[in-house]
Amino acid sequence: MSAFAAFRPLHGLGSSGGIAFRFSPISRRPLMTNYVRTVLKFFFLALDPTHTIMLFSKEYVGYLARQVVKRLQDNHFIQTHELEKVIERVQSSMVEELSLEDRINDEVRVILEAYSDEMRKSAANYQEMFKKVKNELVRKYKAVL
Amino acid sequence: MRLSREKLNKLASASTEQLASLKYVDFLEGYDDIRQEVRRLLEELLAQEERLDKAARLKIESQRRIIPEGTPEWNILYHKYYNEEVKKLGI
Repeated sequence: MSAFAAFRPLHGLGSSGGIAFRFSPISRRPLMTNYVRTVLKFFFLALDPTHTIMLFSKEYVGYLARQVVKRLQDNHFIQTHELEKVIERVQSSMVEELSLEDRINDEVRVILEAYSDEMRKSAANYQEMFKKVKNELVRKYKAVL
Repeated sequence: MRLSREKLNKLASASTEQLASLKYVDFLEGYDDIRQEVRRLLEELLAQEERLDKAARLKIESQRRIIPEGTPEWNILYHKYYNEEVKKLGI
């Protein structure tokens, strides 16, 4: 499926209508709205079979951190006078742990990009290489995904 | 639960380590007891999160036409409906 084919079904956006582009009368160059920019970015990421995004939104992780810290305090497991600071720090550590896979994936992409010429010459399968390099990095960092 | 048991343990350990590293947090129970309590709380909260996931999926399934999972359109709709459910939690 081409990238453009993927655009057609979404909310009926396409050449026939929708809100996709505003055209500058001088250059006729499409000026993308922020909304469209976000949608396009998400589309291209979604088209990449090796791309993953953090399982939970940052907002939800914030909620998790708040609930955990508050309940620990309410149930007398911990005591603090800096509740907000504690929540913020716990949220950061949760985000770091939950986004570990994304960071490993990013590193795999950088590595494969550096070897792209060799991979092209040897006709290596990108997805297979991706898996192999990722497994190596997971072992290296002793990561739990 | 969308997280593996191992990942849940890792998340609980990371959170407890963070708490232990903060000068302005006093532990009223032992480190392991707190780690286990964090794990239990996360398990409870993430079971609730599963309902958000299911609700978002259900909304996509209830569309007039079939939207296959994993397609860009499915991902966008999932993101949108999931965030709507998250907002219902009062975040």
